[in-house]
Amino acid sequence: MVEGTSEQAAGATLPALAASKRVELARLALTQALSVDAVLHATAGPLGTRSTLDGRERLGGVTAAALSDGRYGVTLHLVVHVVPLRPLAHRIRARIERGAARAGLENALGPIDIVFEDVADLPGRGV
Amino acid sequence: MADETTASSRPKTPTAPAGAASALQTEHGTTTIADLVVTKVASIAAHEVPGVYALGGGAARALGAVTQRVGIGDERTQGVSVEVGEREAAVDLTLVIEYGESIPQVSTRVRENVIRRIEGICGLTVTEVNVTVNDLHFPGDDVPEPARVE
Repeated sequence: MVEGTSEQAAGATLPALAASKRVELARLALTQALSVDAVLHATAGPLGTRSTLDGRERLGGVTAAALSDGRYGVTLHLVVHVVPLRPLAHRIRARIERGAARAGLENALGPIDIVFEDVADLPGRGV
Repeated sequence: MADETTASSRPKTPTAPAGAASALQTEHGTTTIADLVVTKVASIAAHEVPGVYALGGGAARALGAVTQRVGIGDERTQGVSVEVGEREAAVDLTLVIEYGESIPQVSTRVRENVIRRIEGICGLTVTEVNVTVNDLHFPGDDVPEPARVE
């Protein structure tokens, strides 16, 4: 009993708990967004607050929050190439929605807010 | 050197409340474009116009050179000030123009290109682009003076 308690405290033999739906959605949204052309990276902000903790891992640049209807709203903070931003936002949302559907999370996915925090030049395009 | 300021004839000031960013609300979520993005797009658009040597006043460029050297500055935000609403943006630019270029023509081209780029890339309506030309660049300005001693 005592040994078991100490093992639990150390976390050595416990199986890892499955990520919550909120964290799953955050990870999915981040992964899908970063797979879209013209998206360079996500940014957690100067204080790192725009992020989601997945155990010990920090998913920077994405937050997910429960809504009153049981779904989770996702917010992404992105740095992208200089391309038309509204169409890019539509492409990102569509990619995330498709990914959520494949993962069986479509009913948990609420609105996807996208914040374009910064832009970077396309390669070879000097200023 | 006296400044030449020209302003577009579009309605002044974005109708949406000015804030840190602009937003487009849809049923699938909100798209927000940070002021920094509009600032950089305006800067890139201005630099694309032949005859524009640099952006920013003398003090801003001097300070910018120092901050860039230590890695905390960005040339692309120099000389650009934006006011961004939900659907509209207003831009103020400070330019250094190459000597010999027509200042009115360069200003007009800059204004047109800034409007084209911001509307195309950000999807915002540009209500005004105010251009201040605060210096001229001469061909020999960048050539370092020869050393007086060997």
